[in-house]
Amino acid sequence: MKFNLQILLILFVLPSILWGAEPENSNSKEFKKSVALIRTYQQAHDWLIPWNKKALRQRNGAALVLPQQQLLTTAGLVMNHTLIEVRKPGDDRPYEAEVILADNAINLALLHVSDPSFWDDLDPVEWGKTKLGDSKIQYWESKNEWKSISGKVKQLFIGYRSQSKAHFPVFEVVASLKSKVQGNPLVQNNKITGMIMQLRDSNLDAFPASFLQTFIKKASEKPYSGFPQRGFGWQQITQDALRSHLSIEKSQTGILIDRIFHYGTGSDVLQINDFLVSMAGKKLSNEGKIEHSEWGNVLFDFLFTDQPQNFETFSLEVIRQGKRLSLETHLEDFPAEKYSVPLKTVEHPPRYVLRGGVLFQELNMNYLEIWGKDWTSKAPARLSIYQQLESHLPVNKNRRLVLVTRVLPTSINIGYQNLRSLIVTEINGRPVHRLEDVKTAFENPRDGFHQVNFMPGSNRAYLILPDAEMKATDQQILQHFQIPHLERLSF
Amino acid sequence: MNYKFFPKISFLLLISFSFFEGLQAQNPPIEPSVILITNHQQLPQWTSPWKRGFTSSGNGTGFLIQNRWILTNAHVVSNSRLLLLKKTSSAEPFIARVVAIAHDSDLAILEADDPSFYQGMHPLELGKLPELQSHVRTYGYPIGGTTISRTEGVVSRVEFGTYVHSGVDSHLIIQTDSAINPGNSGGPVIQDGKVVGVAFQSNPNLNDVGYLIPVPLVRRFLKDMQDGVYDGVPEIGIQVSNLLNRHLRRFLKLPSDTSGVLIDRVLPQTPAEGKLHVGDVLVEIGGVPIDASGMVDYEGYQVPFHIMAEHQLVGDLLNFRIWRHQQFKEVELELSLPPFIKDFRLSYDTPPQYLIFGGLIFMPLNRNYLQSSPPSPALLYEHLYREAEKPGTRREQVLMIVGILPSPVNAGYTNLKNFVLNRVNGIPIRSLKHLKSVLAELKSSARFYRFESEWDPTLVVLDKEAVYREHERILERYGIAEGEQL
Repeated sequence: MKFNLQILLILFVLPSILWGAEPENSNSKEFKKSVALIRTYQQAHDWLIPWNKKALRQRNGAALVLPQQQLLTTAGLVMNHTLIEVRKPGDDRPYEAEVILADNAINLALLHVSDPSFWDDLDPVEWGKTKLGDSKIQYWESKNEWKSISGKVKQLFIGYRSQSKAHFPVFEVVASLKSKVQGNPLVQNNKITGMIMQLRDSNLDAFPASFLQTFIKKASEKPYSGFPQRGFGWQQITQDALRSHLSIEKSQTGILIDRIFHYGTGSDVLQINDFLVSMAGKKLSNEGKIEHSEWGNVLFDFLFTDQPQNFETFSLEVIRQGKRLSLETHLEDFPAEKYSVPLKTVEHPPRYVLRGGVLFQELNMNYLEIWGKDWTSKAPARLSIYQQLESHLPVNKNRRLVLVTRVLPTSINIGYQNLRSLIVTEINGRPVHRLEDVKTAFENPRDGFHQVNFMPGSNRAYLILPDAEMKATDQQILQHFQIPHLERLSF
Repeated sequence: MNYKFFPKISFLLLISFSFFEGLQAQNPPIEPSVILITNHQQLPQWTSPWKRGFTSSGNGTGFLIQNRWILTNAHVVSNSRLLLLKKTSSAEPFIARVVAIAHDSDLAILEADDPSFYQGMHPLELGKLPELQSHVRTYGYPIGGTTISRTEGVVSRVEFGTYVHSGVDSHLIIQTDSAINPGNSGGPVIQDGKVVGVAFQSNPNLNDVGYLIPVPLVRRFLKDMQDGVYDGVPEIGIQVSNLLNRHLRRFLKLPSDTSGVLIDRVLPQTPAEGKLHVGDVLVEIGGVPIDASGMVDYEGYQVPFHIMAEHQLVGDLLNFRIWRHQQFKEVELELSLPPFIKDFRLSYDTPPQYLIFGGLIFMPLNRNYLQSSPPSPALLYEHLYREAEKPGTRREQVLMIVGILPSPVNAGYTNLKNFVLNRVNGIPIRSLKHLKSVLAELKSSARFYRFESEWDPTLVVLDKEAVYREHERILERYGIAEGEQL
């Protein structure tokens, strides 16, 4: 027994000595004082009943402490907040935080706590450089339990956030972790080299430190311009016949431009069927990747998010109808609200106009998601068609689809009460492209009536509301249905 | 079979059956004229149109009417490869053939080849619309046994409803609480010894509800097929909305003693085109006043005004009284069948059209395809909304590349699916036959075939030489006997 115990002791001690002999692999430094705990109370807007809000919910996460009394976390953690509480290590007291900036497209947010005492005894992050290989994820399991687990940074890839259609760089981190650790630090070589964005499948996605630093720098500039995105769609050419048809040499690498968006980088100079061969002097592979000195092959979108400034000149090289051209464009973002059917927003409450009990709203992703995650099959086909084919249908810039979403039953709208989700084309002979047009049109009745026309193929061609009775009824509707206002057009 | 029924046996129904038996004791027996129909069918595969599936068999019911004709549902005999009839009195199966079939009304007429089949049978007489709350008895061969079944119920509604066999048609329908189960389809529903309906569908969301095709629609079917060709139920070709809103009626300056419905849309290539206008108020149809929700009085029942057209034949004239520009006006329409209606109905008995070219599978869009595959937004738009939004732009057929048979000739496009085809080498394509002729014409002049879609930015380009070189190999590799079915 005595002999065996000695062996065991040796076995335990030896690895520790060896571990200590390789300081560059050690991620043992603790960053407790660089991480704050966050609890948000969130209440989303109700897009079905646009003057209402939904049930209150609570979310927990973390934020990294930055210099200049700022906290960095994910935008998802603070969206729709009614209150943000932050706590620091060893202090149970909740401090109230406010959002300085939230970029929901890339899921990052900056917070500030105005109570100066919160910042006492905290250590702002010192960024290190993200590398492939060993790492630690450090996090608060509970307010008193600090944990650290090992992980491996596997690869850099270009993340895609479907709700914002935004591309940005992300590290895939392999770690056995089931807790939600968003906002906590990724540690390598005793430096913070990233921030955990989300748990995905069994791995973690982490923002690289360089991207976080670019975001922080951009946020310090007013106005915040967001991250550039591409303004075109593309496809690979894997077919020799297509290559020959476009007169592209077999040895020439690049991608085929097949769609031009209304906004975004390159949308002003590129044309459909251009063969894009390089961007900012970097050659494109046939898979749309560039050779990065550090990360190997990454998608070209990396070039957009790696730039600190928008509107910088950006060079593109294309082969157009057999001729090689150099094009100059500028980096441009593509915010959610610029889509004809705007992407999901958490920043603004729903806009609406209510007249004669008829509720007008604009079509957007928030409205479609009333039908849940399966909205593509459950929402009225005509509406989901417009969203899904948004970039194919001939919609004009800055135009929205205005809908009659519901009718609150009153005596003047008898016969219309079952109307749902109809697309409005005109009111009183005036074209309707935004809710502002609805308001203006209702100020101009014709012969004492308002005529609301719907898109052909709807289950009603138009409805009529009498002007005098409508004005008399509108105030009664507010009282009867306990609605605060007849419209919300601005915030 | 498109219908699901609830396998439920009710003790209460058995009791009421005994009561009902006494009421009909004087009429000749119904059972000898009620026939078990077994349909050995072979269903097409709309996502692999060259394939023929295995046969399956299903049972339904039919009954003898005039001229040795056996009346049943169209869905009982659709896609048939062999139809067998069996009487209650004999185990011997008799081969039958379809004399006429009306997919829009879910009715069919069969005849047995062997005259001996009819021995011991008498034709059942057609009656009239039953009254609400009156008792009816359903005969048939539903699942749960092999002998003839009789169930009873009460007529609970007479109204318009969707005939799910075609997917789009709405006609008069009788609702009963009589149990109708799989196998009952096509069976006679009897009152006072006469047929008052044909059992045909149920509603899986409701308990103990069965639906019957009323006799007026059966009579229309028999009248239509008298010349040996079934034309179909004609359409008026309008879309209307109610005039329940008094302010809307005031806006239209409609006289206070007048009601009707507002015409919202006139469909192209229909009887209404050029005769009725958007904004007209339809006041009367066939001399019968239309109320503000679009209903007319039909034998004491309030049903949609379309009832007045559905009992007419193609070529019949139908009068309308309308309110246009603050004046009453009489309009006469010659009823017809719009050519596009076939694409909206589910198709039976005809194999899918397709063309395989360079491993690309081309098919025309129809309702069967939309139901057999998760529909893409582009297909839904083309099928449902294009003509409404852009009148006159609907093509003879909407063509799609439904999928790819992978081959070196089409490498890179193997994920292509539901690609709406608009042009080949810049030529707009109207139909599958047109596509075939365009491809043949280009064979001598083009080096490449370029397929383009308004919906999908993918530029599909195939090398002509490779297409023709690989064609037979592709068919052989994928076990396809015919490269086209036009």
